This record gives sequence, C-alpha cells and structure tokens, in this order.
Amino acid sequence: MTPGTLIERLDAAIAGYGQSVTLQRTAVDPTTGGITVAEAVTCPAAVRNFGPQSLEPGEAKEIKVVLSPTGVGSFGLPSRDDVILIDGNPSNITEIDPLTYGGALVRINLLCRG
Amino acid sequence: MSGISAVVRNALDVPGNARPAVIIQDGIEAMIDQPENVRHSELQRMELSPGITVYVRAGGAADAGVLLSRYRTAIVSAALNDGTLRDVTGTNGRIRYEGCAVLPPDAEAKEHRLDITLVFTYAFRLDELL
Repeated sequence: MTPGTLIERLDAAIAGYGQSVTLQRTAVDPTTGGITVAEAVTCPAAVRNFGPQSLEPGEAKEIKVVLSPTGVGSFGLPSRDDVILIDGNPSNITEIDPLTYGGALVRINLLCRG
Repeated sequence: MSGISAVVRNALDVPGNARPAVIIQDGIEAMIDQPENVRHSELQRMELSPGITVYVRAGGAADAGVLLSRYRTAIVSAALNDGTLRDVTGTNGRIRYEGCAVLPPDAEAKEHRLDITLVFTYAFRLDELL
C-alpha cells in the first residue's frame, strides 16, 4: 500500500458517488469587513448531511465533506477562514481533518456548516 | 447602511452567510407604567427592546474591533437620529442606547459578534390596536 494507491482509490470512490464543490479563499476588507474571493478551486467531493437539522427551511445544516488531494491541487489544505460552496450554497468550514499516510496527504475530511 | 451585506429579522442567519450582517430579533416588550385610573390597559407606557446583533469576519489586515466599532457607531447613530422612529415613540416616549456587548467569537465560524441594546419607550393605546 502506498499513498498513491490510497489517493487513486479515494478519487475513484468520489467519482462514483460525489459531486462538485468550490473552495474559496477569502479576503476581508479592513475598512468595511466586506468579503471578497481571492482564490477558488472547483473539485469533486463526497458530501453528506449529518446531525440534527433545523425544522425551519433555509436554516444552517451540518455537512461532512471528503476531498481528495488530487482535486484540491495547488489550492492546498483548506483553512477555517475559507468558504465552501455546496450546491451553490456557501458554508463555513468548522473543522479540518487532513489524513496522511507515509508522510503524504491522502485525504481531507471537513466538517462544514451552512 | 453602508458596508452591511445583509439584514434579516427573526432568523438565525442571513442567506448565504453573507458578512457583515445584522440579525434583528423582535426581543422584549414590557410595560413600565400606566395612569392610576386605567384598568384594562387602555393606555400605558411600554418599553420595546429588540435584539440587534452584528456579525463580522476578520483576519489578515481586518481587525475585528475596528469593524465592530464602525457598525456600532453607524447603527446607534441611525436609530437615535431617525425621524420616523422619533415620531413613532411620540412626545411621551424616547429612544435610549443602553450599551453593547462584544461576544466571544463563534467557535464554529470564527465570527465576531456585537450585541447592541436600544430601548424604545412608547405610549401603548388600546384603541390603536382596533
């Protein structure tokens, strides 16, 4: 087993049951607090809702997202200040859990809210 | 209001998590006094205190304190100087700014929040409800 094998398997799995998401690296205007997108990447991801959902439509949902290093590419590991668009809806990234094998990044688990 | 991306009333958040945002909850309405000869709330003075919360994101060169101060100043000034609000509170009423509180950043979203307390005193007249 090598990191490359693990990444290939993850890519295949995400290709089978995943969808596209967009990661956005944001910048905050120091004067107004307005948020702009400085960098973005669209990549395949496995997306699952979990946890209690609000009874009121349109309220925030808890979402688990699995990304592959292949899709993220040069964007790199997401940070808590980034935003993720899922089905066009922006969500905050509340937890980042990168998994490494043999010293290489092979999977990125995210918990999101939005 | 310049700079604010979205404002909602009686909701948990604004659409798309847009920031800076203001979320207003209807808050508290309570009687403060009434004339002694009034039996059934025909006339009394009320205090209305909505929940006003400002949400901002910071980071990089953006200082949360600077942003929160900016929007505190703008909101308090707008409310106290608004002609319509002054007319609604009437000659027996008043609008008071009672202060604000900076809450710890939301652990999930790393967002900074400011609660602003404004109290609107006005005359409640039963016949105006009909």
